[in-house]
Amino acid sequence: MTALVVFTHPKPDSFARELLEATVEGLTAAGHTVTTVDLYRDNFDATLSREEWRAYPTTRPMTADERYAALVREADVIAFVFPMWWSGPPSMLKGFFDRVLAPGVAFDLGDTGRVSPGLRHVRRVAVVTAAEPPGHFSHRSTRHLAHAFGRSLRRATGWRTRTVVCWAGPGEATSDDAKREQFLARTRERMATLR
Amino acid sequence: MSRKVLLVYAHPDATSYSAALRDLVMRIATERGAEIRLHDLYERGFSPVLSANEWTLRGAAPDAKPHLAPYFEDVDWCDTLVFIYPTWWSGQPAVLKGWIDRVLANGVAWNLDDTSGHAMPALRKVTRIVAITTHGRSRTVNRLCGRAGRATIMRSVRRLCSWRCRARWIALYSLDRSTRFERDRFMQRVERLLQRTL
Repeated sequence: MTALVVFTHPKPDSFARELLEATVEGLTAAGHTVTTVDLYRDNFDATLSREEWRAYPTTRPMTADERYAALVREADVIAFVFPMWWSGPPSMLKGFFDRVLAPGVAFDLGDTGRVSPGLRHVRRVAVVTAAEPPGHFSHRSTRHLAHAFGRSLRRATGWRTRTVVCWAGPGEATSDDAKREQFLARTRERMATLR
Repeated sequence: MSRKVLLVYAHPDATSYSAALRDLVMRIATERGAEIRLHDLYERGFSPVLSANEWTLRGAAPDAKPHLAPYFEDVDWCDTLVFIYPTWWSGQPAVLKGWIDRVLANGVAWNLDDTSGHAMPALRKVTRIVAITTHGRSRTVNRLCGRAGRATIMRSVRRLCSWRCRARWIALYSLDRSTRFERDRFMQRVERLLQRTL
């Protein structure tokens, strides 16, 4: 079994990095071969160009990065590890969706414009994220948005895939070491159940 | 009082439907006597990526990021925010998400409160938000896939503005299969909305 972990955080020494490690450990324990993609380290270009946009509905779509596309094609589990900014993923990760999950990889557009899912082989989508700064919104609504992020892949995966969310609330992502540890352990356990 | 409109527009193609919407908004704003500034993110070659350096400076004053100063100035100037973009994967194109990540910074859109650690709203002047977007697929599919992009504007950006800010969200669904009639009708809806808002 193959798992792809897409990691997005500008700082190499952040809490998100620890989350990444916990995610990889968990998935390895579940028996997956894990490949990690670090978008910031790879200096991924997040902007979808005009040429790509024009090629979108044609029979010869473009994919931004063949290596990434190959990893997506063979993944059984895709996990995203990122900080939540403004209710959504960082622009870098959004760019990964826009450019890598193009027609020919994530879905196919038939002659009639019908979308046929291209990610049926993905059985689980995992979202591992830490919350926005405290005092913004209720825990519930933020967790809901982490789910919504994972669910945006539903059409491409053929509606069957379950989204698993590990979400650290403000209290857990801030300075308290014990709570952080607790959350990391929870993430590790949760990921180990993804088969 | 004439409105000060900041129009943030993101679409890679100048011949697209979104570009037509942009021109419509520019025309109506001018007709209504509003001042308008345009951030055409693709044309400006705006880099969406919040760098490690900017991440380190996220709590710093805006002076620490001189390369973004013209953007900060426009955000500080406006009292109406208009977003025009196509919805891709339930959300804003990366370049627009990058604008939100980078330009709505500390000291511009929010102030960090030292005692509570909360981000306090700083766009007090902004009393109108209009988001105009197009979806390739139907309303049903978009509901089932979640509406994460809507939350970014209607929840996160809205929160930074004046407490009496009116936020309006207007979307055209099934653009890929739409007819000329449907697209024109949507243009009229946008026009009516802007007549009321500006």
